[in-house]
Amino acid sequence: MAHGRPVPSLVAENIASGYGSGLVVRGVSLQAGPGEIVTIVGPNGSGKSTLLRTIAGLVPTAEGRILHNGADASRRSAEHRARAGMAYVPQEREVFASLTVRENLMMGGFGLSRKQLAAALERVYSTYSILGRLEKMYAGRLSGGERKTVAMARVMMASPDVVLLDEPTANLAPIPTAKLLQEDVPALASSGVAVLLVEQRAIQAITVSGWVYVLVAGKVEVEGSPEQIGDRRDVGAMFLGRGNPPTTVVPPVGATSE
Amino acid sequence: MTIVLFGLYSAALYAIGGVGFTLQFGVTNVLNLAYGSLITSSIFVEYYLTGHSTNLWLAMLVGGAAGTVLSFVVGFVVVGAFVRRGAAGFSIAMVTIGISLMIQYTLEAIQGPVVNAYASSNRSTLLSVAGVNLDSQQVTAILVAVVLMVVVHLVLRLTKLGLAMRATADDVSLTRVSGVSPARVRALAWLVSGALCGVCGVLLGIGIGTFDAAIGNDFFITAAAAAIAGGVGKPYGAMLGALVVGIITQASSAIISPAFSSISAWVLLVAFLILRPQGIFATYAAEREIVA
Repeated sequence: MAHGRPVPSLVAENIASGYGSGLVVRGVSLQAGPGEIVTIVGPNGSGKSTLLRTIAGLVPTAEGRILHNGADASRRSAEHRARAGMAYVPQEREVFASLTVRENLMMGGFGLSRKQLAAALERVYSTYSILGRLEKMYAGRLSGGERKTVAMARVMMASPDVVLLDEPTANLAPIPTAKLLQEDVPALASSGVAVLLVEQRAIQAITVSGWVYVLVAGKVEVEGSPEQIGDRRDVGAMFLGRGNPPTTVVPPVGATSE
Repeated sequence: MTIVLFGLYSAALYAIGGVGFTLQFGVTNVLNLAYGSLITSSIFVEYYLTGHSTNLWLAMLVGGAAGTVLSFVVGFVVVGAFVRRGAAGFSIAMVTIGISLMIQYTLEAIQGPVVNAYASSNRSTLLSVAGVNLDSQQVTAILVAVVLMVVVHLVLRLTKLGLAMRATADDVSLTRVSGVSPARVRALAWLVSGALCGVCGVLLGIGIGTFDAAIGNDFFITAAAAAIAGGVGKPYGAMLGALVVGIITQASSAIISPAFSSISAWVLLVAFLILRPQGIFATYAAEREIVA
């Protein structure tokens, strides 16, 4: 455990999970605390997305525990975890395509009273100024960057304390990528949220992070501060560089991290 | 004119049945091939409980309630048990075929192969347009259909339940991580679609005047054609599809022979599946699903 990390609001203790009988995540421990951006990097197929889906509750935890604010969430449903303040933005299909932008936001604030909903809408509209212009549009018609903004705004409606972001820049052009990683994600963290970020654009993500886990074949191979990770030449060579130069890659169409 | 007016009456029934079916499929993702048998069962319950009453309002109340209960039991409890054990798609559709046959043959076993008849009600001509007479039963059915379609529209667009239903139909995982339990939304979808199914059933049974244990099945294929014409899972599509199917079946009855009215609906169904499986309105969402 390093110095200077916040008291964690999310802890994964030696979790294993997968689909069917095969385990994709094989004993991962990690943590994230308020205000912290924690990034998970690693080659394609290393289990990054499965790890996030497990924490969100969409994939059952086969072994280990997930603690959310000290409570064991491992056996709780995804909807229960969401209501307890854990938000998740998938890599693809991150918005309800057949709902309008405003309806997407209302889904994000589903559990709120009418009064709270109005306040939450006002809050996210002021954080993300393009929403006002887009509100009546169907989310399926938006550009990649706009979809990510709507997805971020949707999860912020419920004022979560943990946000899981799965490759938010996967299909984004350079300018929206930079805006997301250098403005939106840090803003989220500085509002006191623990951000757990899976990123393919490792170097850009690591520079804004407080802590980094390198996941290889379902296990944490290396962890450390961005400086520590940057100093390790082997990390770049072995994990980040494999087949995908991390700073420039736009994944081929149809490719996902799993 | 005759074709349009009687087409409108047929469309009213197809719209109620088709919207119920498409709403159910869209939200629960269960291809419920027992829907026709549930229509039949609702008529039986109404027929025996009310002592063959042809009072439409009482019939719709009893039939709607019967449909609601039966749909919940069949869909949420029985089919739901299979879904919770991980069955999906084709195997679920087979389960619903089994349920459908069980219902149909149970009804036949109980009462024998007889045709039930409602006492001929004193149907007064209520509306006479260009020499075509619609009786009060038919006019009521059309009005009820219009009211129900407006109600379905308002529920889907303006209520939280409607929002949750549309979200569940769109993406179950995303609905769950938004903190909404799809199981509850599905339970409500079974209830609501069951009510539509029951109301549709009694309007059909009393409209024809006679019924047997298979009445719902033929009707269901045609109502499903309406739903598919409009794009399965899309209530507004089913409304428009019902209008198209209603007028085409009436047109084929009038122009060719009444015997062809079901056949023309099935031809339409097959043609739609070949030419435009995504329905009349090909939206970006449907395109996306087909591509993905």
